[in-house]
Amino acid sequence: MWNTLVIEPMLNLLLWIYSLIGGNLGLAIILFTILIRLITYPLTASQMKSSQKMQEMQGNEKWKAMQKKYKDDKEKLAQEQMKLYKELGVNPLASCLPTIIQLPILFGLYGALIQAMAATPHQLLGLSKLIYPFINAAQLFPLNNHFLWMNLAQPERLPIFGIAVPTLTILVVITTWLQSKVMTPPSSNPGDQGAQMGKMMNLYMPFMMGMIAYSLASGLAIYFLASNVVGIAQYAAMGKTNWKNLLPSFLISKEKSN
Amino acid sequence: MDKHRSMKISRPLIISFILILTAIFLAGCSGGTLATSWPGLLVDKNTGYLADNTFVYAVNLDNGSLKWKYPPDKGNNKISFFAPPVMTVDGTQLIVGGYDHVLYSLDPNNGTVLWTFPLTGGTGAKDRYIASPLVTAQGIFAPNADGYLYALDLKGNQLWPPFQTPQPLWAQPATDAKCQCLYIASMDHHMYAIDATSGSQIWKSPELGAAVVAAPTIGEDGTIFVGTFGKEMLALDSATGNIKWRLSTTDWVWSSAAQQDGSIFFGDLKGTFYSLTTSGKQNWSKQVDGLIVGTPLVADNLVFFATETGTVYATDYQGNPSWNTTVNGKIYSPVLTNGDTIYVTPSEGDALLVALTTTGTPKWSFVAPK
Repeated sequence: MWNTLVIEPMLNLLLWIYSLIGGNLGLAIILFTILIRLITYPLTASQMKSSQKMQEMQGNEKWKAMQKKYKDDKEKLAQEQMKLYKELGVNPLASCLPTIIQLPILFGLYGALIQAMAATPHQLLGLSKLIYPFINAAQLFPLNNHFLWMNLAQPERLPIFGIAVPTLTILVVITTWLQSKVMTPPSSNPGDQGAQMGKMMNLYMPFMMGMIAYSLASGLAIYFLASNVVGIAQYAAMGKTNWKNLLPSFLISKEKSN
Repeated sequence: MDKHRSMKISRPLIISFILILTAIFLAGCSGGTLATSWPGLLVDKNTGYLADNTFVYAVNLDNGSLKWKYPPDKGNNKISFFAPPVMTVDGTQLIVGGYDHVLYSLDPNNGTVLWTFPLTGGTGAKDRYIASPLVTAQGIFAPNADGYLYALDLKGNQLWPPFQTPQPLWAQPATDAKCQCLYIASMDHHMYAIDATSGSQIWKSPELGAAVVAAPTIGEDGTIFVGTFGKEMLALDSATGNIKWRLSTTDWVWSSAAQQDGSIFFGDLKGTFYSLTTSGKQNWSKQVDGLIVGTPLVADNLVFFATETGTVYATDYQGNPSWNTTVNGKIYSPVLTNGDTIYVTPSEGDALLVALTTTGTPKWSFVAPK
C-alpha cells in the first residue's frame, strides 16, 4: 500500500525527470523538489495563513487584556484563550497540520531516493518491481549517482586541505536555520511559552536536519537544501518573510525603541 | 492540567515530537544506503563457506554443523559480507569481499584473517564488493562497485593498477583456460576483455543496450553468454567482443547461464526459464512461480534452479519437470552441488543453508547461531 501510493509514484516521477534531463540525478532531485514544493504549495500557504492568524490574535486587545487579567490563573486564562480562538475562528492546530501532512512526502521521498540509487542487489531487485512500464529502465540504469563532487548514494564530504568537510550538512544547517528564522512572524509576546518553544525549535531543528544530512545519502541532503531554498523563496514571494529575525536581538530592540 | 491550556502548548510539542520521530526514523538508516543482499555460498569439498550479513560461516556439509565463523564473536554492523567467498587455487586462502570496501583473506581452516586489502597504509577500493573475485593461478581479480577491477597477488599486493570502468562492477569476471584474459561485465552497458598479466584492455564490446550484473559464461567454443537488464541474452565473440546474436526475454536477466551439451539455461525476473542452443535458437521456455535471479545448476542429468518464492525446480534437459520442492524463504542465490547433494541459501527464511538430495528430499539445514 505504502509502496503503491507513495514510493512508486515518487520514484517514477524522479526517474521520469532524470530521463528528461539527460541523466543528472542531482539536478533531477532539485527539479523534483521544486515540483513537490509547488504541489504542496496550498499546504504551505495554509500553514503560513494559520501562523499569521495566530500571531494577529496575539496582538488582539482582548488577548492582551486577558493575559494581564488572568496572569495568576492559568486555568481561567486557557479557557478564555479558547473562547477567543472560537470567536475569531482560529484553530490553534491548523498551522501544525500541514507539517504533519508533509511528513509522508519526506518519508516517501527518502524511500524513492534510496530505491532509485539502488546501491545493493536487494534495492535494485526491489526497484525492478516498482518501475512503471513507460520508464525505459534498461537505458536508465545504473543511474548516474555523481553530482558535482558528490556520490549521491553516500554521505557527502568534501576534502579541503586533507580534512573531509561535510559542506552539504553545513549548508543544510544554515538554510534550515534561515528558513525557520524568516518564516517566524514577529511575536507580540516574546515571553510566552509558545514563543519560547518556537525559539527552541528554531535552534534544534537545524541541528536535527544537519544530523540527518550528515549521516544519510547526500541525495537526501540535496533535497533538504533545495527544499529550504525553495521554501524561503516561496515565503518571500508571498511577502511573508521576516528578515528582521536574522538581526541580533539587541539590534531588533534598538530598532523598536526608535 | 486544563485541556485548553494543553492545546495551547501542544502545537510546538507535537511538531517537535514528530520531527524527533522523523530524525530517528531517517537516521536509523545511517551509513548511506542500507547494505542488503542475499547470502553467498561457496561449496568446497565437504565445507560450505557462507557469507551472510555480518558473518562468514564455515559449515560442515556432511551434517550442517558450524565449523567456525568470522568474526568469531560478535558481528560488526559496519562490516557485512554477501558475495560468495572464493578459494585460491592452492586451497590455502578463502577470499571474501566486504561491504566495508575491504577484501579479506581468511584461513579456510579456522577463519583467522591472513591479510586484508587495502594493506596497512595502502589505498584500496572506494565502494562495496558486491560480486565475488575471480581467482586464477595468476592472482585474485576483484570487481568493486567503485567501477574498478583490482588485481592482487596471493599476499594482497596489487599486480597492476586497477582497471577502470565508468560504472559499478557487480559481476564476477570470467576467464577462458585458452587465454590469459579476463572478461568483465560492467553496469556501463559494456563488456571488457583485459589481459590478466598486465591489466591492459584487449577489447570493449559495443553498447549492449543495458546494464549487466550477471557473470559471463564462457562457452566451449569461447563464445561469451551474458544476460542484460535490456531483457536480452547476448552471445559475444570472445576474440572481438562483437555481438554474435541476441535473444529477447520477457524481463531483465540477472542470472548467469549454465551450459550443457550445446545448450544454455537461465531465467529472468518474470520467472521464465529458458533453454537455448549456443547458436541462439530457443529450445524451450517455461513459466514458473517466481522471479529467477540465481544461476541454474546442471548436474546428475538435470537442471536445477530456484525462485524468489523459495521453490527449487528440477527439470531434464528437454524441460520436462522432474520434481520441485519449496523451502522457507526467498532464493536469489545460485543452486550449488558437491556431488549427491544440492544446496540452496534462502533469504528471509529460518535457515541460511538448506541441503537437499538430488531428488528434492531435505537432508539438513543450517541455521545461523544466535
